[in-house]
Amino acid sequence: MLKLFEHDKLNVHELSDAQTAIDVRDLNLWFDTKHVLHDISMRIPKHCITSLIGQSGCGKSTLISSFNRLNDLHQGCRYTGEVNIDGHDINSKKQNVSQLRTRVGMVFQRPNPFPLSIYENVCYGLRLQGVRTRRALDDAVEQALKDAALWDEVKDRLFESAHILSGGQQQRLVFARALALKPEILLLDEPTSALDPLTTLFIEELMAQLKSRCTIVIVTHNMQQAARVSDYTAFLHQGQLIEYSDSDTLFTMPDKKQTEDYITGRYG
Amino acid sequence: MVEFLRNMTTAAQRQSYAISLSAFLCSMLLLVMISILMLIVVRGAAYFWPEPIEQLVYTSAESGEQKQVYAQTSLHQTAPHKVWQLQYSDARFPFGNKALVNADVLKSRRNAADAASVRLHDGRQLFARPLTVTMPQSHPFSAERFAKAQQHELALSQQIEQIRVQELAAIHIKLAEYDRRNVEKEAPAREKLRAQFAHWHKKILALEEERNAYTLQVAFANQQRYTLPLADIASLEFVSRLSWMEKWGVAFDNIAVFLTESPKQANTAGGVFPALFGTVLMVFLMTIIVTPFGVLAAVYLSEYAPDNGFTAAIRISVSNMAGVPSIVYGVFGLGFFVYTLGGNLDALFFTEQLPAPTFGTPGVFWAALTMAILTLPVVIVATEEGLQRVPDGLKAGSYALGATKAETIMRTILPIASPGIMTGVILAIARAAGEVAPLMLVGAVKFAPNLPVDGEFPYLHLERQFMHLGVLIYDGAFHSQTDAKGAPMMFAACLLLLAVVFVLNIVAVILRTRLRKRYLVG
Repeated sequence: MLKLFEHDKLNVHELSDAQTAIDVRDLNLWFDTKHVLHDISMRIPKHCITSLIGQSGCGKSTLISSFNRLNDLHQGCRYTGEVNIDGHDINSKKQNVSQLRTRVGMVFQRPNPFPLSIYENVCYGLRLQGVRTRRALDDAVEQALKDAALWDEVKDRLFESAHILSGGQQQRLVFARALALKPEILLLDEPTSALDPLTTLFIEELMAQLKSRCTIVIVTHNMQQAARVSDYTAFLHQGQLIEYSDSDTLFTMPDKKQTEDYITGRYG
Repeated sequence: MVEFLRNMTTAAQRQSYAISLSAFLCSMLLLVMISILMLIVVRGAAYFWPEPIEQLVYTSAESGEQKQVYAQTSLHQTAPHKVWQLQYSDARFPFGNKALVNADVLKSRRNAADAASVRLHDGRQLFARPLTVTMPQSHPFSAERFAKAQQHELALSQQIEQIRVQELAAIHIKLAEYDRRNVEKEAPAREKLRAQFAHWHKKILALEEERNAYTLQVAFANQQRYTLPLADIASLEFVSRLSWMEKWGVAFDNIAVFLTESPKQANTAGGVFPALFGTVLMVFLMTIIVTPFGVLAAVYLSEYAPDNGFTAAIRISVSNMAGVPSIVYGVFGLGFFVYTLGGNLDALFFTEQLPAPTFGTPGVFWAALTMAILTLPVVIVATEEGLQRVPDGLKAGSYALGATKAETIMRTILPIASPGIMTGVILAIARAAGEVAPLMLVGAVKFAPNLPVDGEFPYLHLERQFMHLGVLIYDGAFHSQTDAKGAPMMFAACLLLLAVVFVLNIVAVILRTRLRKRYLVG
């Protein structure tokens, strides 16, 4: 096949262990009797943005939720296969789930700040970690809010309720909350779908800045967004990983017919 | 009929009939509620409001003679002819009697400005014209003289009380000690004490005699005289002379007495302080017991229990428990808490006092425990509703930050559910404050000599019996029908009970609103 342009993207199917943040092997997942994920195997590269696209209900959110075992919250959820982070299978019984979730942060579709002050929202995770000293908390809160580009807007009202913030600010607050724990991996479950275009742009810029610090996995319905922000893209359909490659290739020269149909909007 | 309506009316008409009917029923309900409230407020407030005294002349229905009395009147019935109810004093019934008088036999009726309402310390009341104050010389009555005589009399009473408490009590204690040590009857120490006792006793008798010389002579409307010892008189008020503002003053005094004093005359006069205190204490203890139990049970049911048939069965049983008649809980409390639990406690820890029971008898703690069980379902159901209203997104957010289930519940779910918990506690408080039947089995009594809280170690006496406003009302309403003052006092107690429940509710609602504002979600 003719290479239209040169790029420095890695081949996701030939990643070395050192380049891999998350290594998924033969992951199958059921909710009660419903088979949601079918034999997913993929390696997500470190310090990159990987996006998951696909129809609603195709298992994207379930897949990223299995990276921090948030699926455990649902009764009747069973899974087989491995998800390796740092060479450890997080699905093993020995895994400390709380500790895993401090290393793998997550931001949800709807901004979900706790009904506490802005300050308390950001320290929520740190307090759970047993950080008690005021100084350490203050520093961490300031750093996290600066990382989430929210500091300048809220520095004068840190102790007011988080609900006075706008939707976009709330979502950045949720980012800050996750970043305060300095996660290695950040999972974003449609983080901009409830926000206006300008705020979306803001958050996309934020993601680009955060890339150097952590691996980002984003679920999105917005194809342009996936193409814009992500280095690699995986297309899921009905619980199966159809195609997974760097974003340029996937959006310009998809291998599979299904992928092409989806990205050109010929589905359904 | 239904067929007829359907044929004769259009859909719009039928709808308007339905609306009218429901509006009518709703307004009827409102009317009933307002009437209940009005009745209790009016009759209850009448207990405090000083009614003017009138001088009446009428022909007695029994003897046919003309009678002249000082009385407080109220309209008893209007149709078919007017009948007045009198509450009067005369030489035969100095402390009040009731009579019904037809308007047509009433000869004259005028305001008696010179007649006073004299209230005694034991709660009895008499209407008469004060004539002379004896202190110990007789003087014509005047307010200043009366006040002065009362002061002197009070000083004497205090002296007597002081001797009783300080001197005589000490002698009694010493004598009791000698009895315990089997000191001989004729021992010199005893003789000495006996002599001391005689000395103080003589002094008391002398003082009492001096005090008894202070009297107030009054005259009834028919000029018959009556003499009252000043020591018995609590207050004297020329009710008919009072201005409107002064009446308010008297009413407030009455309210203060009602709220701070113990009942007198078998719960028909005096105050209701012990009952008010008992009610609030019992409700307070119950809240302390029921809240942690209810909240923990609801947290388990809602957050931890597996979603299966057994949990569903538990949930249904809990809801059904709210409908169990309260007397059943009373019997359970008596059988299990009082006899079984209390009896075993006595056998284990209070053996030296047996056979006199300590905890094996109805008491305020068992009452609070019984009421806690009775209100537990309410708290559980309301808390569970509050817990279920916590958005899943927030829970997921908490878990995603590395919180364990317990941490999520403590830091996120419970604060957000706290308005729901408050709702449950409000309902529990309202129910417990108003309940009567089970309380009579497990600790509430008509008259308790001591409060459950006093200055004696351990200060809070959980095993003591207590008085309760609901029980007081029940007792007063049934056993004091004949007494003139009894029924109005029950209305006043009802009013107070309503006020207590209202205040507790308002406090809880304010608390809940603040929590809601604080933990507003979304």
